[in-house]
Amino acid sequence: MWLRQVFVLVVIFLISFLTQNSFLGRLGLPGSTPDLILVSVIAVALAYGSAMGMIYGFAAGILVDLAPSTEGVIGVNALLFMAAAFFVGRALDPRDRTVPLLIGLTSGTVGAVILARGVIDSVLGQPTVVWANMAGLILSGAIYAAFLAPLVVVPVGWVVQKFTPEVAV
Amino acid sequence: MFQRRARVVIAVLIVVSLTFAILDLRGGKGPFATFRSVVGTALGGVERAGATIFSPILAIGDWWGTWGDQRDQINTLQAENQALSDLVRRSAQDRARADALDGLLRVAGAGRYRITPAEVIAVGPEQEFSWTITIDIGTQDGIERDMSVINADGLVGRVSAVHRTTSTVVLIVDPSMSVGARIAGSDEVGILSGTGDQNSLEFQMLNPLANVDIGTALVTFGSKNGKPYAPGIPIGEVTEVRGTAGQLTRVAAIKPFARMSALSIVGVVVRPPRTDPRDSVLPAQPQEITPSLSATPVPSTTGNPSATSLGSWSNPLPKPSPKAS
Repeated sequence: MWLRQVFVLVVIFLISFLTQNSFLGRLGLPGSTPDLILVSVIAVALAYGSAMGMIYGFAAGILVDLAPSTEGVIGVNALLFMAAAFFVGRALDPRDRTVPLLIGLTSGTVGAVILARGVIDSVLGQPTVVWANMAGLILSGAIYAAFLAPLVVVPVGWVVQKFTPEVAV
Repeated sequence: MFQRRARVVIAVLIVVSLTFAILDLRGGKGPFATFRSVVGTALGGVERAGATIFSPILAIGDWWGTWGDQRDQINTLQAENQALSDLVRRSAQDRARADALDGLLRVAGAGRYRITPAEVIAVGPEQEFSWTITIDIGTQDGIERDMSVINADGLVGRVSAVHRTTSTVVLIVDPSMSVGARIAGSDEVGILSGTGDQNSLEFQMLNPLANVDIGTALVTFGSKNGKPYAPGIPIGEVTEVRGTAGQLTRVAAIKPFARMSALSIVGVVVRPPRTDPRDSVLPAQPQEITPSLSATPVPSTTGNPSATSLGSWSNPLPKPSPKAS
C-alpha cells in the first residue's frame, strides 16, 4: 500500500518532469515556461492532502533543483513547492471542489510561487532575477497553469482514487 | 491538523531544504557537487528519453506551423516555374521571329521597298494542287491584290485575294505562276514559272544566245507600277541549264532562295521603290558575277563566286551596295 503510493507519485513526477523539460520547455511559448511540475504538486496536495503533498513537493523540488538545466539554489524549489502544497491542501474543503475553483486556485498558486521565487532569489543575492519581466512572467505562468489545471488535477485525482483509495482525501 | 508523525517529517524536510539552500549558497564545490552530478546524470537520461519521445510531436508543431507557408511557397514556385519555362519557350520563338523580321527589314531597306510585315497563319491544302498561304493582314492594313510578298530570303509570291484581316498569297512555286525575271548583273530577262516543286522553278530565257552560269542569281524584272511584282527582289539561283546556246528556247532550273515549306514572317511590298534597285538587294558583290552578253562563255575569275557569295545571304550585316544608298 505504502509502496503503491510511492510508485504512483514517482510515475506522476516522471511524467510531469519529462513533459515539462522535453516538451513544454521546447514549445517556445511566450513568457514563462508552463510549470507542469508545480501543477502536479498542487494536484497531489489536492488528492492526498497537505502532508503527502508537502513530502512530494520536497522531493520534486530537490530533484528539479538538481536536474540539468536548472541553476538555482538547491532547496529553494523544495521550500516553495512545500509551501504551495501546504496552502493548497488546506485552502479548499474536499467537498466543495469544482473545476473552476480548482483552476483559479492552481493559477493563483502558480503566480504566487513565481513571485515568491523571485523574492527569495533576490534576497539570496541571485543576479538572475529581472524584476521588469516579473509581471509578464506571473501573468503568463498563471494563464498556462489555468490551462494545465483541468488536464492534470482531474486525472491525478482519478488515478489516486483508483490506485490508492484508502489514503485519498 | 497533521498527525504527529507527519508533523515531524515535514519539519525535518523544511530544515533539510533550508540546510541545502544555505550549504549551496556557501559556494564552492561543497557536498553537492557529486550529489548534483549523480542526480543530473540520472535525470539527464530521463530528459534525453523524453526528447526522443516528444521530438515527433514537436516536429508536428513545426510541420503544422510551416505547412501553410510551404503550400504557398510551392504554389509560388510552380507559377514562377511555369512563367519561366513559358519565357524560355517563347524567347526561342521570339528570337527566330526577330531574326526573320531583321532579314525582312534588311531586304526592304536595301531595295527601298515599303513593306508591311505579316505572319503566315495557314497553308493551303496540297491536294488542291495550288501553293497558297494565308497571312494575317488584309484590306485593313492597306493590302491590295497583286502586291508582291517577300521574306528575308527573297520573293515568296503575290497576293491573290484580300479580305478584311487576311489575305491569300500564291507562292511562286505554284504551277500557275509566272514571274518576269532578270539575271543578276546582266540585262537578260526571261519568264520564270512554277512547277509545283518547291525546290525548282523553270526559267525561260528570251534571248536564246544568253550565257548563264550555274549559281547566278535571279531578281524580279518588275511590273508596271510594281504590280504584281516589284523590281529587284531576289528570287533564286540557277542550278541547271538545259539546252545549248542558240536553241530556240533555253530553260534553266532555278532554286528559290525562300524556303516555301518554312515560311513564318513575310512582308507585303505595299509600295515599290521609285527606281529599280537592280541587283542591290542581293547581298553578294554583283561585280563578281561576270556579265556575259556575248555568246562566248567567259570563265568566271573565282570559279563559282556567286554560289559562295549567295550562300552568305543570311549574313547579318551585308555590305550595302552603292546603288542602294
